[in-house]
Amino acid sequence: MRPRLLILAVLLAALAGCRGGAPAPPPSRLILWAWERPEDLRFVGDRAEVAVQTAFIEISPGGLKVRGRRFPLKVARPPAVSLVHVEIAPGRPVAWTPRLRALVSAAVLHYGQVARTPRVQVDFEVRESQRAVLLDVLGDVRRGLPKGISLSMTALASWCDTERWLDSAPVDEIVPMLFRLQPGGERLRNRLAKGGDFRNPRCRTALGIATDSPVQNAPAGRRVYLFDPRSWTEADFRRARRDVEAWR
Amino acid sequence: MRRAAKAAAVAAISTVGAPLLASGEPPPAVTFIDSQGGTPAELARFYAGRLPVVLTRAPDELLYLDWRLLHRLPIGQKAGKALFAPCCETVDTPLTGGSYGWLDDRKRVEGAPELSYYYLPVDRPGPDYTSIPNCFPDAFDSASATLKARIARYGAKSAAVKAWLATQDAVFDACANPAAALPPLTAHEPQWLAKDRAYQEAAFALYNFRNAEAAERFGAIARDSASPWRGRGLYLRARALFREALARPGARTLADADSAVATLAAAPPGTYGRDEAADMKSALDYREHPAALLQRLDRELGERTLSEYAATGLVDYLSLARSAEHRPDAADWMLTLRAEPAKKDAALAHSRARWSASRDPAWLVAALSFADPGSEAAGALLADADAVPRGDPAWLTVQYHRLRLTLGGADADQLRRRLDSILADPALTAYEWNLFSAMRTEVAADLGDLARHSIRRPYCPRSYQGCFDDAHWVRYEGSIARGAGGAWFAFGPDARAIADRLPLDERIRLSRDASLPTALRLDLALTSFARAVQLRRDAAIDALARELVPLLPQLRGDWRAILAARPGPDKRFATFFAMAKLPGLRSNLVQYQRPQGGVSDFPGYWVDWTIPARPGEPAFPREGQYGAGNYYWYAVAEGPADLLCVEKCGLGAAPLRLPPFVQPLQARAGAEQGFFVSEEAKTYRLASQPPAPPPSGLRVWEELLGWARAHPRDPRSPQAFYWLIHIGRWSDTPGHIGRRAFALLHARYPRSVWAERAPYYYD
Repeated sequence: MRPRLLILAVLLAALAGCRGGAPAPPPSRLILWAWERPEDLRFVGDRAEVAVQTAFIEISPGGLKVRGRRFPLKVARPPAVSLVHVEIAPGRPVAWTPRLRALVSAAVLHYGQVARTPRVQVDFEVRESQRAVLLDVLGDVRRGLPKGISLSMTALASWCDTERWLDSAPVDEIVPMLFRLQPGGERLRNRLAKGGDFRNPRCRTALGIATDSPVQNAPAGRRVYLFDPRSWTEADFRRARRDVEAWR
Repeated sequence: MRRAAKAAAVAAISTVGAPLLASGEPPPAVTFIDSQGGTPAELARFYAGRLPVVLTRAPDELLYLDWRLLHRLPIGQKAGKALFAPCCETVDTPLTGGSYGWLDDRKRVEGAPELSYYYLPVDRPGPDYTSIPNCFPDAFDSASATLKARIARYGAKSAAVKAWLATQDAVFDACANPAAALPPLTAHEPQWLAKDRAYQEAAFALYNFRNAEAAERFGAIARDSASPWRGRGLYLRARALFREALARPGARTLADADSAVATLAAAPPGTYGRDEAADMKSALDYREHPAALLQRLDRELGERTLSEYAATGLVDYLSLARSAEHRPDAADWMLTLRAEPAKKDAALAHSRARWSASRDPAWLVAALSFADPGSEAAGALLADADAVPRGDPAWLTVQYHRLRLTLGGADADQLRRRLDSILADPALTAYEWNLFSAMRTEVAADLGDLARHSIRRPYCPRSYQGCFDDAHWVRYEGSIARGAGGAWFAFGPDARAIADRLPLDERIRLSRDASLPTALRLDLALTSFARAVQLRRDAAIDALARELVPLLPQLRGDWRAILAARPGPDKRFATFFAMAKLPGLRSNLVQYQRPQGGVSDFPGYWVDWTIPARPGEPAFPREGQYGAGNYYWYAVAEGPADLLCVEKCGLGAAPLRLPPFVQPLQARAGAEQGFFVSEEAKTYRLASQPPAPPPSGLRVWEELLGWARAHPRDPRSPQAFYWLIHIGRWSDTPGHIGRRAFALLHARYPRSVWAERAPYYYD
């Protein structure tokens, strides 16, 4: 893309984030992340969807650890999202071999489908040098998922704001997480509070927040994933819901 | 000469186009109080009998070991390591073993059917979205070893071996698949295959949760003298009945399991699986005789010799104690220490009652851990604390709480002497040294004293052992540095908070203290430089620029330019030009990021610096901000925070105490803080509060742009535009400053390296 066109694209993208004069956005849809711990979310009823973590996968130089969910999740309605958490152990680098890739992708596919949800979410935070690993896994999972199953991914906020490599991620939904941010994250939160948006348009359909790091304002009308650092309570849910409903 | 200068400039900016922060989870922050037992050497001393300061947020295993040492019960290296070893869940399966190895090994059979999967799931879907572990790595390892042996004996092309593999594939398919089916028996199968098949069928029944059938089949194998699997029959029969009893507890199933486990336990030493009989027995007792099991575990855990197999017992012990009508003392102590903040008062009352009744120092430790300074409880407990003799295992923990409770009121000289005496003990762990150094910092006599005690010894977080070897992590963690002797160090959170509460002149003097490591002097000098600029103190700016020449030589030319500039706009330009190269610059050590590496590598995001005409409302960063670290910005509560032990020593309050000599300086420090209004509208505001409105005053980046526009012949001007493009992108500076700088740079200096390196702007 020529520079002027790129600048134009950036400007248009920025304008797309402005909402001045536009009709009020529809209410945000809430999705509660049911992390791997005992969770009783029956109180939620139909006020929110549930994303159930179905597996934990850790890749390390010493091998591969895969385990399914060990703690019960009680819900009034079946979860709408299956989340598979993947991580690479810090420290020594991992040799990303075709065999390891096949194993990891197959494990994600398996656990992404055990709960038979219409959407599978990959939660996999990587360093710069590990981006290819994430994109490989997403590509494999995308190819392996039956038609009709959506693929979602969580993303560090910086991936959606200051970097462009996510453009090649073969997913239907990107969920930038507005918590546990790197230095400079306050800048982004301030921008969102003033009505701004993520620079990458692909990151404008969903976002993730945490109950211990409330967001004063963010774009409304999106799928908002809610994380609670402890087992959910109705009070935590009400508080988070009230905060999100106040977004304008 | 000019060509050389240009080449140098290109090298300096070659990586600026890259994002300032690499992707990835925020790096785990170092810890100064390691509730995970500290370094391997510190843990070894702990297992050898030295009780460190009790951390109430330590894992159960360590808290239980604390209890043992408080009661002079030995631990021992082997038992300690076994108890605190990572559980099975955290052990990786190597790609050459378990199911992964099996998937490879089965291909040794010539013509082995291709599987439709790369990953072999090993658990069954359970209730409520759980997965039930069903097949374990040793089953796959055993199958791999058997397959290799059968191939070695009968050949990889043998029809019987192929039949064996087909059955084994079905057995492992049953790990996760309830619809798995065994292939039919082959005609005229050799005896070895028939014996293996019997074992495979028993395993197949077990993986399908047909436990009674599996037990019957394994029992038959145990009685079959011709079966190569006979040695395993007894254990696997017991395991199947045990599994049935847990799945369908009832008088019959529990009795069958009890009997089978007892038979296994009574088998001769060396019998396969005999070592697991005790754990299975405990698990059955847990359901059948919980009160008796709790008593037995209390007795066993309190024995003088700690078993190497105590880990499972401890888990059961605490689990049973939680719901028991009468908790054994050790469990009561541990569970009381774990009290939630809302139950602090009740926990304090209970601990005091237990201390009063038992005079057991463990309960004095518990009571002290809940006491707040100045409270009635503190007053009552301090005399008891004084009575604990130095040789008592509880002594050091009691000293910590005693000092914590008196820090704000007792005679500072006396506190210093007491703390110096404790800190002189070479046996202190690093976290104890950090803990007492933090208190010593809070009673520092003067700036030199403050500098000497403000340094801490960081630990790698447990999730990232070996972190100090990772240059990437060290750089982005940002607060640590290596000393001349190779050791790592950092400012303690309390020391950072105190340094930020010093007025500029005292802060500058602190930054000159030769006892501080260079990297920490740089942190103080740079943040003081930001303060001097906002306070418009030219003399201080010059003094700090002089100081920064050796501390931050990457900007040597910029510091000298500041010194050489005439007061007024020229000096301001030189100053702002240097600030433009320092994205992590802040006025306080909260959110500040130390410049490291080349200029283009300096981490951080720029602030929309404004030099206010009038001071705003003075607001120091909240105490909790220092404890949270730079990398996580949870909703930090307002009010006091425990910066001594970051809430790992107990629920008793430990508010920040300013050293006596710092207290009279607070009026001046507060007045100065009112000028530091621009740091991202005070990032240390509550996260739930709306952002502060932009302050009014001299806007630094606008002035930089204006000066560079007005001085087209100054060689710094194109570079100033270049940096302003970045500032426009990586800060909240309004007014399209990046776009305007871009236009000026490309209109006036289209062939400069700076224009070449800034082909875009981001608005």
